Amino acid sequence: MKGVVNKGIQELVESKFDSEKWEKIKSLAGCNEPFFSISEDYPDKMTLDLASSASGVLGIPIDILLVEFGKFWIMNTGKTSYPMFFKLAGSSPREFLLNMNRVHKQVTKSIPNATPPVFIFEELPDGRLLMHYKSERGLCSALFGLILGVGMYFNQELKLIETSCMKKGDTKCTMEITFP
Amino acid sequence: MYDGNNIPINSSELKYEINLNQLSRLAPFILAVDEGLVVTWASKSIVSKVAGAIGTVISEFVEMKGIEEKLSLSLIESNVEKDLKVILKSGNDRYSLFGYLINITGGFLLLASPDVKTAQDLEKFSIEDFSENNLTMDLLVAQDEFRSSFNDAKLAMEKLREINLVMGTSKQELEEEIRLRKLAEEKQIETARGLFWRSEELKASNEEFRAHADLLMKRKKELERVTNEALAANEELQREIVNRRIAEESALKAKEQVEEANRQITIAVTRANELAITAEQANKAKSDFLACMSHEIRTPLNGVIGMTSLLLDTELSTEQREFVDMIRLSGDALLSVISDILDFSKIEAGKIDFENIYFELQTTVQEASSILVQKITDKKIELISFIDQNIPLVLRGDPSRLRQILLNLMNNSVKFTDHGEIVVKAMLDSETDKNATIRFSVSDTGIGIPKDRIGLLFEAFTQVDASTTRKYGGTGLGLTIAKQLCEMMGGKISVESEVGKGSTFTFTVVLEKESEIKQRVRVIPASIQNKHVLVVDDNDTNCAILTAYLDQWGCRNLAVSSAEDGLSQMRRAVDKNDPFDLALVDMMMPDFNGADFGVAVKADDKISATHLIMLTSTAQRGDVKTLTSIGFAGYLTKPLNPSVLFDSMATILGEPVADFKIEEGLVTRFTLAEDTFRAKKTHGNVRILLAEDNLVNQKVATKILEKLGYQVDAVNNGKESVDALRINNYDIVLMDCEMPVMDGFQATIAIREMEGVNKHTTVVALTAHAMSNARELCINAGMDDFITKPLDPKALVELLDKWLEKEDKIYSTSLAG
Repeated sequence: MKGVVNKGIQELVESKFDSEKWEKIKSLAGCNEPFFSISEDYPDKMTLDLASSASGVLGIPIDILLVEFGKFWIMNTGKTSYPMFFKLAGSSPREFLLNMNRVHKQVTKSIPNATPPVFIFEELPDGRLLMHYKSERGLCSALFGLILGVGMYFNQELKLIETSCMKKGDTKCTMEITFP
Repeated sequence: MYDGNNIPINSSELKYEINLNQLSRLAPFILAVDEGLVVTWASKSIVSKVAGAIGTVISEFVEMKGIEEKLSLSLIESNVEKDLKVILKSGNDRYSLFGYLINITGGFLLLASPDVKTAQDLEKFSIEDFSENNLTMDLLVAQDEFRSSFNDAKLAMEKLREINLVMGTSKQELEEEIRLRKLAEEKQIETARGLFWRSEELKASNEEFRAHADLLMKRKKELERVTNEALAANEELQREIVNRRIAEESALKAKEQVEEANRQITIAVTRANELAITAEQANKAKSDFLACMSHEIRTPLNGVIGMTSLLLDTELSTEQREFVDMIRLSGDALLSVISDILDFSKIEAGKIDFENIYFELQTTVQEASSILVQKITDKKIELISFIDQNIPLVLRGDPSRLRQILLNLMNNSVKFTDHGEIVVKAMLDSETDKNATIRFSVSDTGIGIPKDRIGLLFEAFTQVDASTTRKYGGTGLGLTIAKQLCEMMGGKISVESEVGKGSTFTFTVVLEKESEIKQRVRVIPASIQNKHVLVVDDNDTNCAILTAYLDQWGCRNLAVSSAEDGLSQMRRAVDKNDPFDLALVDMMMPDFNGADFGVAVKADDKISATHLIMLTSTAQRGDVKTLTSIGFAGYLTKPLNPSVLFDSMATILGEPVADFKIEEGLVTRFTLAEDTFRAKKTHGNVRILLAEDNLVNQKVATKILEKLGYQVDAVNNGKESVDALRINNYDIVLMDCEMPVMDGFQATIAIREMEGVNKHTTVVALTAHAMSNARELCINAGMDDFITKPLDPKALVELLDKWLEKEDKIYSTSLAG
């Protein structure tokens, strides 16, 4: 997982809570990194441990926390870290989301054996967009928040329903997005 | 698929399309144009920007500088036209592209990619407009990540720099960081500048860029590590620094305060030292001045007083005598002022010395009273003294200082009392094995002291009010001296007073007791014990004191306040078969005085056997004769010396005391003025050598001595005195201390050397100094005694008696008062 994700968690905790909490979360997760470099690859476990210990320390259910993380990441960490990319990634939420596979591929190019997420898009005739996602990491709640975050980035309110979820035993997670 | 100049194109449209789609992954902008220059196919990137591209003549929305002509003529010279600058027009938007133009069957293909030179250029395109392997994208990622990492690194560096500042890391290290940072910045600028260059250049640049990014990354990692360590160290250090800063600040403040205080102290000490030196010099100057003044003033004063005394003994008219008396009084007053000032100065300078000799307290009190009695004869005042018989007879201390205190207080009383009485009492206050504390009181019935002035009384140069000095004279030092003297003798002084009623000064002194062996025990003879004694005195205090003495001696007694009462009591006593053995009669009584009483007693056979002793405070010429003729057995002056009274009574009542004289049949202790200078015996065989440089004083002393019946040889300096002793024998030498040629001390030393051990001529120093060390100086020089100038005839007589009649012991100590 790229450092920019972990950095997002850190920034979320530090800005919404405080750095003391963050230090606590980090130590609970057994993480010794003083800070995260956005381009470095960190073990996936670290990200998952950070997320779950943040949930514990902050007393927020993990899924709600991940949704918040997603929204925060787009509007803060991602936007700040990849300003040019955010501009190029699309001129609308739909275009932005549709470009995600390319974007991820591009930004993980330098990391050997990277496993960027792969989305399968299904554009429905009525304009809705289905985003299928097979997450081995179980971070679909984060995706939920990220998609909402994209809407916020373009100052649009998206209607989003998670129609299936691997955590509920489905074969994949599916986000049904309705654009305004 | 696209391989050099040869592009195999399938006739099948589908395949054609697929191939072009595949091709568009490499070059997203693709246009297929037929021979008529009409666009037959356009890639998604073009269609998304120019919606109606397909079916439109290419020149409608594409500009290709320099080859439009060729296009229209299908005259592309080679199969491939490289490095084309292509502008895609869509409305007002312009998209810069660069690409290749390839000849194909029935037309040509335009393959292009975005030509991005600025960020603005970039913003026009979408990510889809770039091929997946487009370096621009790679660079874009790298750029974003670099920027972000750079920011992180910058933050880390800033933290590090802060830490460096705190930890005092060397400047060079910091400069190295800055240099690297600058390098990075320059690289970044450089990289950014060449960011969107053509692919080969971009590639090279990218490599370099990445290499630099790697370097930075390493650097960053290093920074992270250092930062991490530093942060931990820093945390501790920060706490330490805060603590130290607080400590340093307070220490600094304290140090400043201490320094300031030290500075002040140094200034003060310097100043104090200067002052001390000045004070020392001033003090020395003062002492010298005092010594000088003492000599210079007393010497001429000696002349004035001495000559006046001599003058009074000559034939003078009443007026002349009055004037001379005035001179004498003025001289005495001046002398007492000078003495007061000298005493005060000595006390102030801490130079006063106390003698520690055996003496009899009652003698001292008596002496003081005697001196005073002459002053009160012209006032109607009774001077009464009482000495507690429990006080040890012999004590050890400085009698002259004690007398000085008493005289000071008594003089004051006399000064401020016009009628009534002055009572001097000495009581035993407390006693230990070694010491006796004596409480003296001097009470008068004078004008008294206002309450608000009492506190100021003992302060120097203070009198009850300023007008006091004018009316009563005095320096205002008397009480201050008295206070300090009695404090030096271990006591205290206090005063109680009521305006119009009088004052009582009380003081205590601590005196050493004589050892048992030397302490004489007063033996009361049988002749006195149990005798019946009448006291006739109109003064209640006198009665009380006399009866107190009589009680102590075991006499039955009765006191009455008038002559009439006295007579009737005497007659009644005879009736009771217990007649009075003795009557003590006061001279001064209203209506019926002591003499009249005596006449009445002696005229009445019934009571005439009773012995009479007259007590008077106003002795007059001829008294002795008158009283003897009346039939008085004794005549004593007040204030009474209890010893004298005791001895007189013992003598009269049948047990004569050794050495007590009965003069002309009347027991008396003569203190009449007329007898003062009278020679008690002929001293014609006594030779006195007087060494005195001041001719006036020489004359005064000579006259006094001659009047006393002595033979006097006078010399002018010490050397002459030594010479005179070489030739003649003298019984006593009176030696002035300060003389030219050879002073008195040197002369005495010379005399003692000359005499050796076989002979010892008495040498008495005449000193005008009255300074504390005079006695010591005299003794050290080998002198036997000293007497202060101006010469007091009485003191001189006593001194001469002491040294000349030493062996004869004519006066017993108990009668010396």
